[in-house]
Amino acid sequence: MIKYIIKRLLLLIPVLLGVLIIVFTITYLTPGDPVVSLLGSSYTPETYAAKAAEMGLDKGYFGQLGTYIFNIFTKFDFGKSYMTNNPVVESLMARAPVTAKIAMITVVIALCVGIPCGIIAAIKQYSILDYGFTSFALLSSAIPSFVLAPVFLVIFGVKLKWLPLSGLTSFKSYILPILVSAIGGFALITRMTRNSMLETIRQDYIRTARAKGMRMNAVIRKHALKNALIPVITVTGSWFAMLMGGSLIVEMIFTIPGLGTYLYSGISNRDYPIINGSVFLTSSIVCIMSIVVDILYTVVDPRIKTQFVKKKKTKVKKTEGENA
Amino acid sequence: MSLLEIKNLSVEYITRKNVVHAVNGIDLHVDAGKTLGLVGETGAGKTTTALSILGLLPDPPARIAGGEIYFDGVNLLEQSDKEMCSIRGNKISMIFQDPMTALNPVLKVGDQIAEVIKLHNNCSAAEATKKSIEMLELVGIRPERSDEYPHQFSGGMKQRVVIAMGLACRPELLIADEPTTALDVTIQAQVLEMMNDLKEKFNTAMILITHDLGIVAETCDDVAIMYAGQIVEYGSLAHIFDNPLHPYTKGLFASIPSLDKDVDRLTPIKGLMPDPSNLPEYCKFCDRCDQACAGCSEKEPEYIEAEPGHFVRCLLVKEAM
Amino acid sequence: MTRSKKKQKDLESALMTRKTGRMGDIVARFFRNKLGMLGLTIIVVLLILVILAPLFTKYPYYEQSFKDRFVAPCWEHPLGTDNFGRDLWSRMLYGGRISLLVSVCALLMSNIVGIIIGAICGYFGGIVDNVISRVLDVLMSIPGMLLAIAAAAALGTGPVKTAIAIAITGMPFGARIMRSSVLSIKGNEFVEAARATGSSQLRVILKHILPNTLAPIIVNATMNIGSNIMAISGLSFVGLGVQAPTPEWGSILSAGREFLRDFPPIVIFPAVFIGLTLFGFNILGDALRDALDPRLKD
Repeated sequence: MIKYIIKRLLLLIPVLLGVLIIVFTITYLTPGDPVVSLLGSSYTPETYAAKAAEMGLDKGYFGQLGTYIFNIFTKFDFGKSYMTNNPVVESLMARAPVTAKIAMITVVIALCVGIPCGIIAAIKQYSILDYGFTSFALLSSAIPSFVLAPVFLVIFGVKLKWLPLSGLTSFKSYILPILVSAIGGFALITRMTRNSMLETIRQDYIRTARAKGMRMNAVIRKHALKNALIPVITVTGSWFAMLMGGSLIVEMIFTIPGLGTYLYSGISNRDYPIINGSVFLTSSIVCIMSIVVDILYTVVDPRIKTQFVKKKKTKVKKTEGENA
Repeated sequence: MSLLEIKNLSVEYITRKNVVHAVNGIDLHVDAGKTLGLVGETGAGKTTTALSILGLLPDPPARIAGGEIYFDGVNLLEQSDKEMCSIRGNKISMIFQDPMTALNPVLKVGDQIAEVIKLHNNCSAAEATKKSIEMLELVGIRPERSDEYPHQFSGGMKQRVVIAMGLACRPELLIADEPTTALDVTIQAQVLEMMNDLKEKFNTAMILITHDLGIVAETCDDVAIMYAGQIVEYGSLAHIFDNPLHPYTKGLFASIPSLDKDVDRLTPIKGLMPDPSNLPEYCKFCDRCDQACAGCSEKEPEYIEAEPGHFVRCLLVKEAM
Repeated sequence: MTRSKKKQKDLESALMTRKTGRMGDIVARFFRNKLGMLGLTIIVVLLILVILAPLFTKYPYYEQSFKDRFVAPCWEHPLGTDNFGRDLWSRMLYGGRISLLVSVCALLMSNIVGIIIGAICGYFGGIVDNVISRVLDVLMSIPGMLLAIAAAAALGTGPVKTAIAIAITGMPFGARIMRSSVLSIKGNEFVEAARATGSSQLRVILKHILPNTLAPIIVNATMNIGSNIMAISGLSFVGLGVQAPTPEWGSILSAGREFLRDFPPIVIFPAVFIGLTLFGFNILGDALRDALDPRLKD
């Protein structure tokens, strides 16, 4: 198992390297000269050249890319912000926990609410609860976070004055951003749980469990749940990527000092090291999450585990048992 | 008194478009320790009958339209869900057709057996595990394999696990729904033999659902031939095999190869079973019967006792008497 | 990684029906699905309104009128007016043209490129497949919204560039679906038969493989139109999509945000239009998938 995790982590390196190259290339191709925008209108060729050399922009594409990647791998140095001259790594490290914290709480809440709702909707198919949950899920999946966020802000922040409007001052300031992000995930998870539960309870092994004399509730809990959760794990994994991508908008609206607002400041100021660094870090988080998801699979589904972790022992036993 | 007695049972499946009459007024009884073979082609209502005994019909769309099922003198159809749960897996258990899908893929096989033991016997988890390992050994699976998952077992081994699960609580009645159909021919005999041995050992009565007359000949005491949701012929093994009366039963025998007779061609039964949502008012087999006469397509033949203990539903037999 | 597994599953089930279900059954199943019909109705009505916008509007979407600022919804202005006194109803309909058009263009671009790349990968396999698949893996490991934002920042604003930015994020998924469809179909006997009878490779791809992969592609595309609209609006909202004077749902919403507190319609209506469209395409996509895959439905 540990071997498998190490293998996955090693495989992550080329992928993240690829991400670096792609992001770097995109920002490299972005029109506009950061040197000019930094120096303003008054500059001489000499000051321009000096500034460009200082920012490392005097080299060609491959030179710049090489230096960039070299610095990351040797010194964990993502460059300095053009605007503030602060090392990007420091800002990333300061901001990543904020975004990660919000994302984690959001995922946990969406799962804790979505899975039970999905199960209830599946067990009580065609009941009022089922219709209620499914239609709420359908509707809320159609409302983008950038609509929900301002509306919630006006209702809870401005009109009712229950919650703060922006920033991260107390636990209350987490409520709205998390609520806004969690609703989309809740919708997705509820629907997925319901569908996979419906499929699972029609399986033969559920009938077997019933034939053993188990009550329906126990069957759901002991036999159906684990099987039904497998696709839910998948969908949670891909939703997490969406969540990290969407964090930019949510953080912007609630002015949360996370990776999203950092990226946004990078984009609006043409501060390429910031863009590169924050996209890279966000992608890394998403990639690591997808490894976590794959590991979770092996916990839930033993079939996948044997695919990954090959035990030669069991194979030998199997043939022996066959002859017994 | 019989262990199990089914009286005039009818089951329907109600769909959006129509009502499928899967079982139409069948009478059956199984005595303690005896084996009844329930024979018929696919769609004859064998599995539906079995599931209605256990109260596991998918409802909706299935509905019991009428009849009674007495087990140990109580009508199972009137039992509450809670009471049925204490009977299922304990007094009556069932082995399903496809061992590949009958076991939960994410649970260890040992735990799946221990579960049923713990459910019906007031015992600790450790005792249940110990008993589950005993059961596994009984069906010829090494104890250390109880910690493995179903996908690590072959089809035949899985069916052994299912059998161990079915017999774990020493039920009085075991319903085996085509237990060997999904298995390789070589494994079939092994599994069947093992089931028979265990059945003898625990003195369990059994309903063996199959479409293989060879299996019936080897294992059953009584045989019921089912066609279009009805019992068309019922009797002891000797009655059915030595003196088949119903044209359908005769047709079944004619369509299997025989070792002692030299035949060039088997005679299959022509045609298909009638649409169960649109059954004829008259003899259900009439349209496929090569001996059918005018009276056969007029009204439903009665279920008569042609000789003591040998029942048949055919007009021709009645007229010949 | 995980996303592709899910898609793979969807597609495998969709493929199954190519063998079992007939076209008539699929259509019948589709039309029986009430939710799907609702989705279809929503989309058809939206399309009619948007395409024939001049017939349904009294005011040009750009006409400003200082004295008519922030008019509440009334007979004259069904959805009210914005901060420049422009008729919101007109802006919604004309804005929908941009939103839908950009979404469909992005969809076409991403799918055509994706299908070609995926088909090449699936059909030829080997090193070609390996290299391209790794690049797709990398593209897919960047959260879609971030990739779109970065691409939009590089490309600049405007409808065409927004469409390209969104197409870039969608392309790997189209390619993945196509690749696995081709892989699963390639092994089928009818493909081998076609090759055995001497069909050229291109002919095998076009005539035999492509038609059989249509089902999952169509389902994916339907779902994508909705998610593209969400992405376009998101980009516009961040200021990287379609820019201010051109009406687009996301940019209208974004521009109206500062007036939300005092004049909610300016945000509510674009939100409703975005939501309706998403909702319509989502349930239509669900219905299509269910129709193509009866095993999921009872």
